[in-house]
Amino acid sequence: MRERNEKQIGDEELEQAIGYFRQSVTAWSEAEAGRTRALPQPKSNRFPVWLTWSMAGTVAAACAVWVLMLAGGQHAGRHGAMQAAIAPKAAMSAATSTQAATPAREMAPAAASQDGTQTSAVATEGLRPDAAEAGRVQASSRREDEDEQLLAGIDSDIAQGTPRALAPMAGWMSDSANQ
Amino acid sequence: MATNDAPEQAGFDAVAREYRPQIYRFLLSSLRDPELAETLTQECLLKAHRNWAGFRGDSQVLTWLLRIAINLQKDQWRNRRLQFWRQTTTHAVDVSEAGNWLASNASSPEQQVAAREQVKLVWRAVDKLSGRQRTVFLLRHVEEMEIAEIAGATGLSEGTVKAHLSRAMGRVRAELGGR
Repeated sequence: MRERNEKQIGDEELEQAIGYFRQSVTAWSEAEAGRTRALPQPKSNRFPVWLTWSMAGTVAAACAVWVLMLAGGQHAGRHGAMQAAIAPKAAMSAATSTQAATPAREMAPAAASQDGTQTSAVATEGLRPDAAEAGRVQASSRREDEDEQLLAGIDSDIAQGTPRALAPMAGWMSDSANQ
Repeated sequence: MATNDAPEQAGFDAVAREYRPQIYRFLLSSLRDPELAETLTQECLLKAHRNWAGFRGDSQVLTWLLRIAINLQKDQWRNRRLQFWRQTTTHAVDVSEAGNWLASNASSPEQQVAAREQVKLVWRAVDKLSGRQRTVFLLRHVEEMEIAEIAGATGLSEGTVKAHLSRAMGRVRAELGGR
């Protein structure tokens, strides 16, 4: 097969083909050699000084923003947790204050209304634990005062003869006795 | 072909300027990779510059330079074979693309087409040659070196060069005859 192929082309044709090949390689080589090549720049010149500084500044600013965001998130989380811990106590103190204010309002309207306003203010505020504690102490002392006032009133009524609370019954008894 | 009469007197710059195109052309035709050919040409001249003081002038400068280039090419082939599984992509130009380069001295468009076709067939044959056969063929028919010079550049005996050349010519002839 190879011999048959070799016989198919003559030396002249072979020489001609190789001549074209030589011309082709030379033309290609000259074209490639004439082409301007982009030389790789050394690493030191890859980034100018100002660009390096501006990049460093940008990175530093980004880091600062990131740290601030992180700190803000942590603060918000802690604040939320604190609010969640305080809310039941505040609600309880508000309920206690309201219970304490109700009889006081019956016994002494002016004082009770004033105290009720304060209690509701504490219940509304209800964010700081020391304020809730102070409200609770104030409510218990007020309750003791009211008890003392009530007892004092009863004592004075007994001293007068008929307690004020029993006055209607005493009147009815005296009426029935007269009849 | 220039002879090396007084290598000491001729500055290395002049030698590099004179022989650089030939070294690049040989490496380009052998590797079909313009970037790699450029790199190896630079390496060849760098190596020659380092050993310039030790060059005794026993052979021609071009033969000596081509010997360095052939050794670098062998190293490159060895490295490429080692790197095959790591990096399979090369920048080698396709045979048909390399065959498009042709000096425009053909008389008619038909002749140009025929010449281009012959060049592609020779490229295809060269592509199928072994490394040594390709080197010998290119040195003989592109660089137009004598058998003794090829033997000096490749480090082979003249008989071996003739044998490789004969096989390479047979392959080219078969490729041209089988179209």
